[in-house]
Amino acid sequence: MTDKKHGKLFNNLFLFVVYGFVAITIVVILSVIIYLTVRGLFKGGNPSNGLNINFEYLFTTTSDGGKTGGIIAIIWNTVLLVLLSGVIAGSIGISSAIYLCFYAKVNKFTSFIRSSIEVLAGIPSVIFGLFGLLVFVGLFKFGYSLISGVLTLSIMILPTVITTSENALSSVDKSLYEAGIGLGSTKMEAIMKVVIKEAKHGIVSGMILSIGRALGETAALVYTVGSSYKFANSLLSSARPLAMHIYLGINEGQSLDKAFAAAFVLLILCMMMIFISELLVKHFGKGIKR
Amino acid sequence: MFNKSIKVRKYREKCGVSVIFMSSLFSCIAVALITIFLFKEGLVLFKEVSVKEFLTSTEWFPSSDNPKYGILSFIYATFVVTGLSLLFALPFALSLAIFLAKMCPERLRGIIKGCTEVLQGIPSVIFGLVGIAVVVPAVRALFGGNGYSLLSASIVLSIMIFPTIVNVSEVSIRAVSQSLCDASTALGATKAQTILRVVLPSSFKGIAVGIILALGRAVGETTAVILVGGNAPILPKSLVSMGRTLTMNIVTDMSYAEGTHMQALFASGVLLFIIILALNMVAIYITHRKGSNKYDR
Repeated sequence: MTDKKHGKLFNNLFLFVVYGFVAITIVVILSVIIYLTVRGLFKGGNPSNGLNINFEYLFTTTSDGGKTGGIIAIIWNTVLLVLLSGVIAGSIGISSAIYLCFYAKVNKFTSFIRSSIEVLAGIPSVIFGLFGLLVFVGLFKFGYSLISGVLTLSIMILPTVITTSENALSSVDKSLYEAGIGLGSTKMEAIMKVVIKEAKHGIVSGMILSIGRALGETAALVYTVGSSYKFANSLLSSARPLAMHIYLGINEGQSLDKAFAAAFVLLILCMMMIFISELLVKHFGKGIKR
Repeated sequence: MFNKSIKVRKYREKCGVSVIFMSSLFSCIAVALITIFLFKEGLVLFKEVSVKEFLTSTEWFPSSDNPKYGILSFIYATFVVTGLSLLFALPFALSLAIFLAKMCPERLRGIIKGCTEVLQGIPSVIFGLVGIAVVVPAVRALFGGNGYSLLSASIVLSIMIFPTIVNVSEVSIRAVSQSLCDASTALGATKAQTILRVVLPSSFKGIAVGIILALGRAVGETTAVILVGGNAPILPKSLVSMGRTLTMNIVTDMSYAEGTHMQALFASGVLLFIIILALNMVAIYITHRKGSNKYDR
């Protein structure tokens, strides 16, 4: 009898602890999000101090090392950076996914490719930064420039692009592909004209997710992309993206309010990416595993 | 597409296949190049500094007249910060994973999953910023010191690795079949007993892999910890003193390093790379290990 009582007591205690931890977790997550929003929108996080983010901040160029002025040029650089790396990583990654999904035989070589993708996915971003500094900045003599940053980022997001596209491709009904082959098309024609059309939402969703990763990256870019906060007008010009603007700004003594304003813009961009990506999978991609 | 001659179409197929084959080689080439360049630059260091001195000395004076390159204090800080952040994150992450997988109504699950996904999508520099504005003053007020400390870095890091552990372990906890749980309940076990003795042991593999992935992320994290960790190149005496991890050292010193100093940084990169690879190996080993009996997944 006492044993049973003990069991019950223990059970209740255990459930209490689990529910407690869950509650604390949810409170912490929500407070991080709310804190970022409030500090981003209002000066000092206090609504009576007036708005922290306004049109002037969003649409003027940076001056005085970020202490005054806005971030329009930095937003432009960020967009340029992530779109270009999306294009490069996308073209290599999607073709790589097609190969792995439809052509690769089950053998040692294929598993070698797969494990190198896994290794690439696990490498910390600071190591990509070192590599970019050695190869693109130093060896190829691109200097601290947009193109060095783009190439470094493309390698970094490549594994994500490959895995998400392969999931999208393999979730397409196999009979569609077989019907294409049955109608006399070659393997590549069946993939390009039938399967890709079915998988396109999944692939786009994966691309957006990868670009979202690239948006928030700093460690890989500090020594590759340079830090000029002017509009980048060529591939070889130095260009500071938004995440790095926050990082450098803190080191260069820009006020926390400015940093939180930039952080809020970055957060909104990242959340938009995640949201669009989720929406695409939800509405069009049946059976895509994430 | 059918009025083109079969020859043209076959030719195009061949071209297409070779193009996609080359792209799939790209990942291997990238990994190979990263390894080669990193090791080539990093291992040159050991002509001038012995491996033993590099790994076991805490003296880091790269720009003095008699330069010393010992990274033990950075290795120590990396392990402390990583271990501590795991310690902080694990109870919360496991509780949430169990709750989401086994005890939570479907609608609430969607909302909470959305929250963890948002958390996962927040860039690390923003975590660093929140750390400076919230965690650092809190640590200063509660534990003394100036707030920029290993403890602050671990707290920020624990929030960052939290979603990884939750996502991976939740999947494997959900995969524990309901009939096992039902059998346990039918035998008179309480909910707590079922979770602790049936659910957790049979989803052990997935949880372990989640923890290892999170460790990898924590070891490699740079931006968030550099903003709150204090970044002092000395052996930290306590949890509230400032410290510098391997990644912080690379990013900080790279701005002015030259010659041997630069090589020392690349050598720390090599060490980091080896740690991450080792963690990956362990993860692969665990996933492919055969269960000890047929109910062990």
